[in-house]
Amino acid sequence: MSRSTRRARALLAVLVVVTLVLLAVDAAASPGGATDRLRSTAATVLGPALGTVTAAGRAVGDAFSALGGGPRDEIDRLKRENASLRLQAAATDDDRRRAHELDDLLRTAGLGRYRIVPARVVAVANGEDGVRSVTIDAGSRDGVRIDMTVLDGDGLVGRVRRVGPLTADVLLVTDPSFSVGVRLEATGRIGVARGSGDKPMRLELLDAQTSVEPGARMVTLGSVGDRPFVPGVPVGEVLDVRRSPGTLSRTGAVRPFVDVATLDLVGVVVEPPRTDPRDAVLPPKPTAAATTSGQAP
Amino acid sequence: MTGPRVVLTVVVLLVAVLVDATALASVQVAGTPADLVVLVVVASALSGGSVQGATVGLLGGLLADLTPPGAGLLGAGALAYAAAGAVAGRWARPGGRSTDRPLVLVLLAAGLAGFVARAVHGFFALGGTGVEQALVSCVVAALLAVVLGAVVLPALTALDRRVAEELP
Repeated sequence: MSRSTRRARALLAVLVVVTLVLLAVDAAASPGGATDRLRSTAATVLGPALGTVTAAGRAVGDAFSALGGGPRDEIDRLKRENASLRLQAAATDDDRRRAHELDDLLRTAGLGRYRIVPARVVAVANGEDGVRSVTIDAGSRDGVRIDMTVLDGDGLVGRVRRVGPLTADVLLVTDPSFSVGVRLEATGRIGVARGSGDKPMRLELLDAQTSVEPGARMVTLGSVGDRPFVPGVPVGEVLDVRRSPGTLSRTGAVRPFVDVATLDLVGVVVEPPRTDPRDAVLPPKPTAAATTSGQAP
Repeated sequence: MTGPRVVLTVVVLLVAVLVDATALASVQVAGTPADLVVLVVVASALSGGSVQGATVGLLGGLLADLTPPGAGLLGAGALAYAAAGAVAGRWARPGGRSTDRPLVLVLLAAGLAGFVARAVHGFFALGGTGVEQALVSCVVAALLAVVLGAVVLPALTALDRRVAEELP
């Protein structure tokens, strides 16, 4: 055996041992542990590189579609505009209902507002059964912190799992380890929705006496201190509910409003509403123009 | 492995990892995304044998595991690609010119990589899906790698030869 072969084998052996140690540490680590610090260090370097590659990929795609004569820039601009408008209009029905109720019940005008940092998806990690988590191009320098709510124009996208300076990783609603407290919009009943890959989310209602119609919509219940979930973000609609004999709860299936396969523009809630909005996403503060058009009573 | 080859391998690995996470993440067949890293690993194993293949596999896997969003365990991908590199190098004929044999190795290596990654996750009780689905996605990953490899592998080999010729 030559000397260089021996050296190569020794290097491989050392690397294998290091990998096994990393594996064991990562399997045992809690969020924010040693391996997460390693990952966020890597994200400092690789995050911007991912953004560059994504941009390059889009440029290549643009070049191809420009050959076909499509006004790609215009489409892209309109798409982005549409997405941000939908972001603003998220759950307006629920807003109005809640605004009504708040006005009627509490006569409270000072509604809190979310502050949202917009971001684009730059990388995707797949499980065997669909997309599990994504990387977005906003990080701790943009005010994103761990366990913040991520949403888009359709509803709840997930929560922030890891943060680098310029990027953040988002655990999606489809991940099997994802769970969120939900409130049924119409009845106010509460339950827990869990991710299960590309199958519908699993819903567990805490009250076995509840009757739930398919099609009922649900919003996030909200967490203590608004992290990881702010209240009132639309989650999905009920597909079916069945009673499981011998248990105290009811289970069902929920179709998430967000299509994780086509995620692009998302928002991170960096500042929860100043007053508790109960279960409604609050619209932007009314401007003079909006007030004169007169929707709210 | 000479200096320029090391640099080339690292650069190609980095590009493969980044393209995997961005452009290729949406290229899926039956929920299994296409994978460039395993092709780089096999190409390296073909030119340098199983020890080199396993080393490149480990490094590429660590890089892939560290790349955000990184859904899996840190090190699972490294072990998977190392196994792929070792196997591909074990049955490689250095300097062999036939085109069908490398693709058989790609099929083996990619299937094995998928299997090892799932086995490691299963060992730490993180497997989300059943055995059948895992096997199906291993087979799909292997077939995808062959299709992609038919194009990418000759390009990688040519690149490797050019670097080797310029600075022998």
